[in-house]
Amino acid sequence: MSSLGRGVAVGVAVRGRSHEARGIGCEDVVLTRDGPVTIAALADGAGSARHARLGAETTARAVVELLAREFAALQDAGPVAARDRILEVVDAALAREAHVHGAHPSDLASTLLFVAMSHGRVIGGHLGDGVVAVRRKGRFEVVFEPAVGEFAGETVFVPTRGGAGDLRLFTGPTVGIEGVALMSDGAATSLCGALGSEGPPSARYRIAPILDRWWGGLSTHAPSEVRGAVEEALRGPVRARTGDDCSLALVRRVGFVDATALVTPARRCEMLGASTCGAARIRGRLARAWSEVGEGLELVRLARRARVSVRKARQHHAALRAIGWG
Amino acid sequence: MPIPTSLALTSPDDDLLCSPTTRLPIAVILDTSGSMAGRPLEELQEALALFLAEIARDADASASADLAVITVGGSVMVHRPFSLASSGGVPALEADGATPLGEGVTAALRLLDERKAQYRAAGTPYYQPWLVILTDGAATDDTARAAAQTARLVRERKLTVFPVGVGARADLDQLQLLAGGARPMRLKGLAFGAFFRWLSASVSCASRSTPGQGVALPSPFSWVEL
Repeated sequence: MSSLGRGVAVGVAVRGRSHEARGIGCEDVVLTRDGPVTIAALADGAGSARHARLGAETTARAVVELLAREFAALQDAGPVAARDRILEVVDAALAREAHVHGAHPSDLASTLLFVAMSHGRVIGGHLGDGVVAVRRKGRFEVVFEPAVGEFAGETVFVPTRGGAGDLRLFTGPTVGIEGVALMSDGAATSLCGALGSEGPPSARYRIAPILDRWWGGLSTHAPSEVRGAVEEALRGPVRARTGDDCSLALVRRVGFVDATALVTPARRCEMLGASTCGAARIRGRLARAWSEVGEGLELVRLARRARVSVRKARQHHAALRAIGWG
Repeated sequence: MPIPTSLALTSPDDDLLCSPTTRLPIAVILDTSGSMAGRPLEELQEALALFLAEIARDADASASADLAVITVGGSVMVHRPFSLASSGGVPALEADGATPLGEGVTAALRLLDERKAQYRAAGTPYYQPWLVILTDGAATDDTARAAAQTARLVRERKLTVFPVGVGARADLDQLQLLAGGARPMRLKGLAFGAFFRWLSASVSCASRSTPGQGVALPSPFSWVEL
């Protein structure tokens, strides 16, 4: 049996109580994208920035598009060149957007947290406050120390104004990585607790156990159902602990066996990217055959093994590849 | 889209699942017997609100302090089950009846046990629990069982008790027995505000400490009658 699977990403941002009281919208933005590369990006607009929401949207979108387009090249480039490329693209996008709105790029300042996974490789980054946590051996661990200054809300932002080192990256094979979580500092107030002040971040912070429930849920429920559960918690107990906006993204790889063993018809359709039960049935058979024989089998033999026509096999195989199965 | 039951927040320990900080469980027993009616109860209610506000102002304390309030006035009532002190308030207190303090302490210890079981189930680390007893008189029920329980927990270093007598009629000898041997303090007049400010400062110290290690608490002279 091969390790056929696909990445799944969910993200939620909810407006904080203090923004609600002041009639300000949510300035956290989370974007996710499924496909050959599974991507999540989270940006928390700086409270002091005039166009905080616009800046967070611009930054998150620029990073998602870059990672979808250049994932392999960024992997090959090495961490320093990858970091410079990401910041170059984000800074350019912010400069363009600032020009359109007659503003300075710093008026669009935000933090930036992201992760992208594809075919056994991962790249993740963190600039500013908030938390990036990686799940290994059944436990989420904080990867980087949140960049917080002496005073409340003090951190670093994009545009970086030359501080490329503010963006910290992890990149390489996904071996041992079971999932990745991104959270804004608002969400982290509740979902990430300090354990002590010594040792690496993985030993100094503890991630709330609810994330393990959601992570597990991504292999047993439709992403939309997990998104609903995340939103319920962010709007409830998580938001109650802070006045700040709260946002969270969760990414994991779901194996084909997990994805089909425990599913409801709705979830099967969602996971296989099928709009009808008939298409889900064909894609399920095709994916099972694919998972049994691995990548190498030519399409004609795969079609025969899945008991579908070659034409349908080609069509649905391409559709499965397009949403990230591999 | 409805949230599947297995992913939904439904149980009372949801706040533990969503907030992994080390908890300090504090059970507060308030004597609300008939003798507390009038100004003492008003001052107590005001001081409790002040306590919650002070806790909410301190980031470490508000993430750590888990508060339950039990009243003994005619009967024993769980006025507020355990939850983060920084969320929710304390319902209005009413003074009435006798002082079943023995039963109140037993109920508080049971609540602490249940809360510790919830911590363990959620994998939440916790500090040694605190039990605060505020009374202006003497127990009107049998206190032997409760006294034995607290004595055992204090001896095993599983509980810290803060016994406080209010007014001249508070029976400090009996209170000491109920507190497992911890020496009771007598409140200066009706200085509930000063007491709860001190308690809040003590929670702040404890919430910044390492579980299992001793904590130096602030001086109680602002509220203790010498």
